[in-house]
Amino acid sequence: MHIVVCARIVVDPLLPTTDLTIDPVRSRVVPSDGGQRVVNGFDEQALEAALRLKDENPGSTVTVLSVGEHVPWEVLRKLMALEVNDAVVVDGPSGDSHDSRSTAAILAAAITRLAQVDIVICGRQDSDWDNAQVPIRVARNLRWPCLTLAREAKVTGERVLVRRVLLDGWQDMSAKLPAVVTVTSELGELRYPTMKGRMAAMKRQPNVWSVSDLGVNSEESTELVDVHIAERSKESNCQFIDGDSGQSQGEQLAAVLMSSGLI
Amino acid sequence: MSGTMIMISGEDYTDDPSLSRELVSFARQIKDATGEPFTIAVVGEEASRCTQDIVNYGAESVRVLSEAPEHQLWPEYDAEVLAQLCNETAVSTILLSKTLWGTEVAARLAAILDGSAAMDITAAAIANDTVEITRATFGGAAETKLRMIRMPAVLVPHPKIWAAAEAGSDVSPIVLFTSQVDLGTLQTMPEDRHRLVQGPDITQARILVSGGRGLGGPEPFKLLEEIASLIGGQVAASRPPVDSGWVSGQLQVGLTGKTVAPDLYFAVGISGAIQHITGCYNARNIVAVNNDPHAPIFQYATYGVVGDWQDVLPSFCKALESNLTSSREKIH
Repeated sequence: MHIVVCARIVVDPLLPTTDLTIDPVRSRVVPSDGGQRVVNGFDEQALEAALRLKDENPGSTVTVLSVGEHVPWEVLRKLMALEVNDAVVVDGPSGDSHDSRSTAAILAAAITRLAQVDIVICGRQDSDWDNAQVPIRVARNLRWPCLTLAREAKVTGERVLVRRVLLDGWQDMSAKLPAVVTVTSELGELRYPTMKGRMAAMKRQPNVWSVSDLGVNSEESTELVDVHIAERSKESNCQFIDGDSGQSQGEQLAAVLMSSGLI
Repeated sequence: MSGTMIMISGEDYTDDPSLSRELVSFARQIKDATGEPFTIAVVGEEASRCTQDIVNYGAESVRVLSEAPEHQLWPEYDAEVLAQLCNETAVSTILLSKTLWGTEVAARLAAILDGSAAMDITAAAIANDTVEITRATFGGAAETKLRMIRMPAVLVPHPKIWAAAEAGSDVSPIVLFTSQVDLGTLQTMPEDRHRLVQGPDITQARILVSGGRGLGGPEPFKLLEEIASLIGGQVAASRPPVDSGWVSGQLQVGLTGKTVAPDLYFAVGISGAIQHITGCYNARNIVAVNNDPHAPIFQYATYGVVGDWQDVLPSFCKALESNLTSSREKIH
């Protein structure tokens, strides 16, 4: 079985918002010190789902696929310390934009170019744009089914069965392969690599394709007009409750909230 | 422009009618700007009950799916049926709520109709020939303005930005529609569904006492319960306690949980990652208790306590109790 995991590099969502700024040239939100980018958390969990499928189906291969302009290999390479067979990076400005339609068109073209893909696993959404549209659009472009919000995924014969997370429980849903599956945080964290894996990853390189190689029409469905940091993110108006002990802070907090009429 | 369609799942409506009424306010704004009418389409479980409720909101008509397949929760089916309805009725703007169902159907519709879609919308400027929206990104840390190029534009507003519409006196006609979707062409197949007992609805609470990873386990949530009951609030949580199984997923606030905007939101042992903030930044007042002075949550907090919750909360709770006792004594 050939499993493809789509992984996107995002600004670390744990950064304090005061550390975010706008790159005026590319109209992007970036960390002000230029650093701290990570693999989108849900995409790490997509890799974990892929590795579990690989464990259960020996002989499977896993390919990590990422699109974007100047994808930082030093960040993506972290995934290569695990049982990942290959990485493909599709380089191009339109691959990593605000627009799900163009990103999905590029991903779908890349998946078509990869040999005999049985299942594509994606995170349920990105932590920056929260669109949750790309996997569904990828599936539509490929004419494959899309199963969403999986906390478990199993392949039996020619079908994939997922347990989908709902707010009030779960639902099992299945589809015939090839298929696109999105995973959610309930699936669990990505496993840790071994030291040997980490050493080996240092030497690995991705296959780099370009958007133009793929000959894909990646026309956008939306136009970015403006992006700016929200006022509330620029400065804090927090009134700190001081005190010489936690106990006195607790008492003061109660007094402040009661006198302000909040409780 | 040629009309707006609000799409509602009966099940979502039963869960929280105000989200659907927020869509009505959004549709009225579009109608005021363009003169184009709006219709409401209802699908899914409990559709008929929802329909009776939604007829007084000024829609040109309320379209109700006359029969549903055996499996009620089937986003692929719903999206295909609603896409068919859009094709029949020339719709340029589609509005859906930010629920699991709404988000997924929005993405599927945009894909099927090859339109555009935007989530987490906080403002919209819609004229006869342009749809421009402002949306929250990076969990509300940034604001982005997009022009929707491909139509229809599928728009999912951030909850609690538009006020829930009030009912009017005019009654919209109810028009049944039938599905032309051949079930044999659908690619996904729903199987068993397991429902947990319905918990409290955190989106309606005036005060939420929310706990995060910093609580370290399920036990401290009892203290949060105690505080919540003293001040007429409810307990909520960030993602880590839910992922770790300390509390039910129904209590989760944030990107993958619910979006809340209470008067008062206590964030205890919550660092304030973007995933969480996106669900609560519209709270009128946030009280953060965290032992890390650099935790991003303080950025958003009205009141902050830098300290260990284990030291702070017991005396806080005690102060509330004694205040409650003394005010009771005053009454008697």
